[in-house]
Amino acid sequence: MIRKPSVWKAYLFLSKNRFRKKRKLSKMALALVIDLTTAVYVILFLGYIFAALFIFGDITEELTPYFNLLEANGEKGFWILLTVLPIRYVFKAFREPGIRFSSSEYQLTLLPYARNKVWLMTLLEKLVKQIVIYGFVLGAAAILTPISINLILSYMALFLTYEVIMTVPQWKLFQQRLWVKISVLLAVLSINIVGFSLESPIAGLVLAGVIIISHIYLLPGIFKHIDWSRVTEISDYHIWNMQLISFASNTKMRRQKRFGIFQNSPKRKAPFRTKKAIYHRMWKVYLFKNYELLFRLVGALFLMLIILPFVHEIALPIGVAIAIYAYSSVMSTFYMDRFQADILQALPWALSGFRKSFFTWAAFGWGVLFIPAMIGIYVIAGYWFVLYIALVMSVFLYSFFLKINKSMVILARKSKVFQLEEGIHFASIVLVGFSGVYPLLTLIFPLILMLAIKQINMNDKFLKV
Amino acid sequence: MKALELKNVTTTISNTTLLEDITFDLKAGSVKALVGHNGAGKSTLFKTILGMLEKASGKITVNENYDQDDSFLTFKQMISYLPEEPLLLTELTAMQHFQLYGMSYELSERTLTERVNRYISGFELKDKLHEYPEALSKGMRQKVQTICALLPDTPILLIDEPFIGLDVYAMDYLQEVIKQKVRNGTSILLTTHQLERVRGLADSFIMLQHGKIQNQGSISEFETIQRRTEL
Repeated sequence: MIRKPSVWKAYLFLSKNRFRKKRKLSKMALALVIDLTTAVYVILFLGYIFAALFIFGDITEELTPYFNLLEANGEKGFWILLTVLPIRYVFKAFREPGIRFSSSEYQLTLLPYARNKVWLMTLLEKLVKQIVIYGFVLGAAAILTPISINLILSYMALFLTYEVIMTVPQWKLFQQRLWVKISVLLAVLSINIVGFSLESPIAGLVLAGVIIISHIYLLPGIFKHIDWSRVTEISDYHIWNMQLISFASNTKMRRQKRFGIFQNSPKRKAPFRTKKAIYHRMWKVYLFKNYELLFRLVGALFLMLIILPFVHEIALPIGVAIAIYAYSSVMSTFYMDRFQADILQALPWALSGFRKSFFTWAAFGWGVLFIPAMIGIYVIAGYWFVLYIALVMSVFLYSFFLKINKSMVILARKSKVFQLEEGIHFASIVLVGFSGVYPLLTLIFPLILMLAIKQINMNDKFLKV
Repeated sequence: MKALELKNVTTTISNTTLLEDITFDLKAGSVKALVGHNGAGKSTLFKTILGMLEKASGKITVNENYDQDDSFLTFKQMISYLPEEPLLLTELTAMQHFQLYGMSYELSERTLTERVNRYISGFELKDKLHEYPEALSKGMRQKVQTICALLPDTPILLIDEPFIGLDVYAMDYLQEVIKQKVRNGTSILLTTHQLERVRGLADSFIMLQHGKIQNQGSISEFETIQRRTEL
């Protein structure tokens, strides 16, 4: 008779050894970062602060009014959270499956262990971890703050319920194409808008109900059309991407490259016709891998530019100045990072060519930000509107190309200093910020445009010998 | 002429020294074998030469004029690298990879087409030109990566384990191409565990151990060392 091996034992064995390895790595990293004497002093110092604040001090009493306010808002916001929480899981489904099913778990399924049982084990582990984390955080809140235990327990129950009921939807949504994910996100956001306008828990309850009922449809096909290669790749990355190790070793963990299923049209398979097409494809590859960061940046700046005109009429130009600075800074970081990733690391770099094609991509993102900025400015600036557009575009071009040119110098390991240009850059950003109050400042745009053209025309010849 | 020269190169990550005080040179049109156990620092040395890992100290120069620190872009243009594990992008076909290399090393379209045709015929990849890496076997991916590195005519060619993953015909063909490149003046630094294969190729050797040069000299001296060790 063939005896069936225990999944439970195998999984426990795997988890135990993973934990041991992580502990060993953390210990090694800690030993590199901090020595024993410093560690003792740090612990004593933190202990002292904790004792001073919570044991000997009256910080809890001092903060009681704030905690009361928090409690009152917590009670009010409980039902709003019911509607808002699913957004978090839908967002997460863009980049992770919600279950850490790594290559090790996958290896287990190649042994005589059923895939569904191993998957269930990973789910159980996740829930146990969540209970411990929520228990710890909320336990600390119960001990250290005067917030009522009932409210804390209600929140814990709410969070854990969503952890359970959103696991399968997130798992399945992760496997879907981008347009499906965006549609679901928009649907959940719409329900939230309805919920906010109705100011009643009905929207949240309906949403939770829909999520629970969706399991009838989702559970039978839970392991159908799963890209296991992608699931294991992302899980491996999340399991072994330890911040402490990255910090101690001064290296950035990158996702392991897998040759998964890649759907492409014959057009994409055709040889490149121009150099430009190669540059664009290389950017496309890179930006697609980093789209999440890009979405977050553009999304946050976009929201800022929409909200600011309602705050105060002079707030929008300041917001535009911040957007120019933040967007061009992040774009220059992307530009630098492009050459530290994948095959390009090992190749000679045509920095100017890459800069030109990158601008086309960066301009898309800037276009998204430009629309709300210009609508707001049109309302505020009146006749100065056209000049304002000219100033904003000139400063953006100057800021973008200056920062990219600086990155090119760093990549080429040259020592060119941009002190004067940096000064002008700062002044031009300030100019945009103040132009809301002093519209006459927009008349300076031809000068900045000229300086921007100078930056645009800078090629990489001077970076070579 | 010294095609490649390393003077007191040290590479560290955090406080760990990966390479220590590495000094050697590679004459134009010669082949140097980099030998050592796993973890001796061979791949680290390649990455340091390429600038993928930043050196803590020392100097690396190509053709006696182009210093890694002073003329990095030109320096990169003068080195071609064949990694042990293919660096292929899942989003590009084999041909598109060749075009990327052609563009990066500024090869004319005619030269690129002529060389691609020659190598895909030699490595028997003719019918795989428009395939993505995931549609290729491991050996074929290695062949694509090998062709990529052979396309430019750089003064320096760095080859990390050239024969791993290749079938015996491809190994023979690669050996021939390497010899041809050397005859044309390319200098090659290669790592391998297949010492029999490298014996007919290399003029000199460097033995690395724990990130330090333990021994270096002509390939005949290496054979003496090897015999003594075996005895």
